[in-house]
Amino acid sequence: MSGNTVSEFFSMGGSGFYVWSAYGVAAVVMLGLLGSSLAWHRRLTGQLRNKSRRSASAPPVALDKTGGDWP
Amino acid sequence: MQQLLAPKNFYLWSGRWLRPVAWATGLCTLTGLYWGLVVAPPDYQQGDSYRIMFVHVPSAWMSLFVYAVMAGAGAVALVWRIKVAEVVASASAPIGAAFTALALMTGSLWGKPMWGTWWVWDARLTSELLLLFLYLGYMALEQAIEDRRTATRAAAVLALVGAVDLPIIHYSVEWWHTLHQAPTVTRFGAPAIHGSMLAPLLVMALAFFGYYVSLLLVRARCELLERERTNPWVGEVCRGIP
Amino acid sequence: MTPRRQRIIAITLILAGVSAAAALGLTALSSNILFFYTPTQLLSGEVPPAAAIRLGGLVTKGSVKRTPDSLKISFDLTDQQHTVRVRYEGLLPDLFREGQGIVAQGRLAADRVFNANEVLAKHDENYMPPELAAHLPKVKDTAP
Repeated sequence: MSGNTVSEFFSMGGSGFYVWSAYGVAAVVMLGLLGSSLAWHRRLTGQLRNKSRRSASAPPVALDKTGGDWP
Repeated sequence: MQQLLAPKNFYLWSGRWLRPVAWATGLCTLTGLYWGLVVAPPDYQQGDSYRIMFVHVPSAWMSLFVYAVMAGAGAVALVWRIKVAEVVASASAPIGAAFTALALMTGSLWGKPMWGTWWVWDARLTSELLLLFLYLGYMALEQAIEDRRTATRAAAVLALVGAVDLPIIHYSVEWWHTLHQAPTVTRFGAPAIHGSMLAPLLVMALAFFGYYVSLLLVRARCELLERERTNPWVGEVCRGIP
Repeated sequence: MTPRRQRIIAITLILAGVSAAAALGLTALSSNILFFYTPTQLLSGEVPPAAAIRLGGLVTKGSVKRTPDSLKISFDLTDQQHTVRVRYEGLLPDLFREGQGIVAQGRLAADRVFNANEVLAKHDENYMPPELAAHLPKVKDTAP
């Protein structure tokens, strides 16, 4: 791709501001919600794991590091 | 199927499906973006700004679809008191709200250069804005009630009442004069869009659908853990005991 | 009757009630929900005279007259049955062109010309590459 076609691509025929804002806002909102949902799951499983360890009289069981339970 | 409705089974099953669905979604997103932004030709009237369509239209479709899932799962939760249906309804609300907000914002960014205005109070835009308020009302109502199961059921009634907005949004452009144009893809007969633009649109729609399914699974699992935290299976799965 | 059946009936009643209420309400409000009037509606007196309204239609081909060195423009707006002359001064959206559907906001002056203070473009639902559009004998004008 030459420099000219790259700048043409980003200018989007003069409506670059609108097109890239639309894609930008979509990326921010969707990735933000994805990140916060994954963080919620990580926090919860950590919390509940500790709670369950403390309450269990049995010695702690080795964590499943094989990634079978994603994420 | 019956077994999937048990919270523990749903949790383990969704854990297995997350990874493949997420990968397929990522693949569709990259394909759709490249196809829509680079490969697809400009439009004969709108030039390149029509490319906003590839995020706007899937967001708008999903805002309706997610609401239908939320209201449907809410109805199932009300009638049969199935826990998995309850968590599907509550997990859908923030995702649907995000799609609705995106449809409105990207629509605004498309309206400014093409129509000459960021916003007008026509029937399509107003009924879509109402949908955003319905989602927000649903989430606020769920937050306001302490007991989560009661909260979900109360919110489900709101979701069912609000479901009347779905046909209004869809048919608004046919029932009334609006600034928003009539449907392109879902009309009877051939879609009024050239194949070279329709294909990336459908791929992006698939990507948005996959995004919803992945996020629904993650959030539904969180809801299940929250609601079942006193149940022994929760401690077991969190410690990696199958 | 089981409690489950009662709940099903309750939900059905809620849905039916809300749908009926919405249908009635929307029918009653129908004319207020219209985003714009057509030239036929304006000329047939459906609209109170001199009221500020939005007028929608197609810009008649060959009717656009611009005043040099100013933003003044006038053009015919038609719904294929009746035509109204529109006067406007200001910036036009990119999509404004002859044959295009537009919505003008303003009021009808005493000289039967519509004085617009805002002009919005209404695009149709067709999308195609420019080369293809050039090959078509004429892109179908969809009524606004």
